[in-house]
Amino acid sequence: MAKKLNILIVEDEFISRTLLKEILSPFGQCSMAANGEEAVDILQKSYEKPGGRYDLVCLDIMMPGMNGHEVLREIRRLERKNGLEGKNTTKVLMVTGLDDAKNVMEALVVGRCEAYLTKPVSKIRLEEQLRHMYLIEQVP
Amino acid sequence: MIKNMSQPLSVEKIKTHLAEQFSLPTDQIEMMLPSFLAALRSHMQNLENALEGNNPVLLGRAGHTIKGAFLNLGLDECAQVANCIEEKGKQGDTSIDYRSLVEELRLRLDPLVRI
Repeated sequence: MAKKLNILIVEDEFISRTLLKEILSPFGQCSMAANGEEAVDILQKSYEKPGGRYDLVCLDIMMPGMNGHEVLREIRRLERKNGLEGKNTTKVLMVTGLDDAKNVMEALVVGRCEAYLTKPVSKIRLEEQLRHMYLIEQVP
Repeated sequence: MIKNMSQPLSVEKIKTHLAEQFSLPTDQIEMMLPSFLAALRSHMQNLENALEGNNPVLLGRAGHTIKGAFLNLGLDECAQVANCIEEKGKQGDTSIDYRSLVEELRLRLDPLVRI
C-alpha cells in the first residue's frame, strides 16, 4: 500500500481550499492554513515533531499578508536550518490564479518549487502533478 | 465591459462542473454548495467594499480572490470579468468603470446568491 502523505494546503479562498482538500484527502492527511503566517507557524512546528515534516505543500501565491513566494522561501530556509536535503525536503506545488512569467519564474527559479499549477484546479490536473513529483504512482 | 454574458447562471451548472472536474458524489456536492454560495456572497461584498473605498489596488486583490472561486466553480464568464477587475486594479488604473464591472457580476450572480 502506498505511503500516506502528510499534506499542507495554504489557500486564503474557501472554495479553492475546500476543493483541494477533497481531491488530496485520499492520498493522506491534509492540514489547512488560510494565510501565509498561519502556514509558517504550522511548518515551523512540523520540524519539531519526529516524522512531522510535510511531504507536500500546496501553496497559493496572492494572499493577504505574507504571500506564497515568501512562504516558499521560508520553507527552504527552515529546511537548510534543519539540515534537510534531497528526498527529505518538502515538495511544493504552487496552485495559483497568477500565470505571468514573473511569478512562474520566481516560484520555480528563486523559490525552487517542484511544480506550478494555475487555476482552475481539477482532479485530473492535480493528480497529474502528484505523479510528476513522484508522490503517487497511480490514483487510489 | 465583457460581453456575451447572456447565458444564465444556475446552481445546476455548478453542480455539473463539480461532479465532472472533481468527481464529487451528488450528496457531497449538495452538502458543500450552501457554503460555496455563501463564500461567493462574501467575495462579492468584499468587491463592493473595495469599490466604495475607491481603491484600485484593493479592487484588484478582491477581483483576484473571486476569480479563483469562479474558475473552480466553472463560472468562466464571471471569471473573465473578475480578471479584468484584477488586472486593471493591480495596475492602479483609475480610468476603468469598475462600478459597471462589479454591477455586471452582481446581476449575473443574483439568481445564485440573492445579493
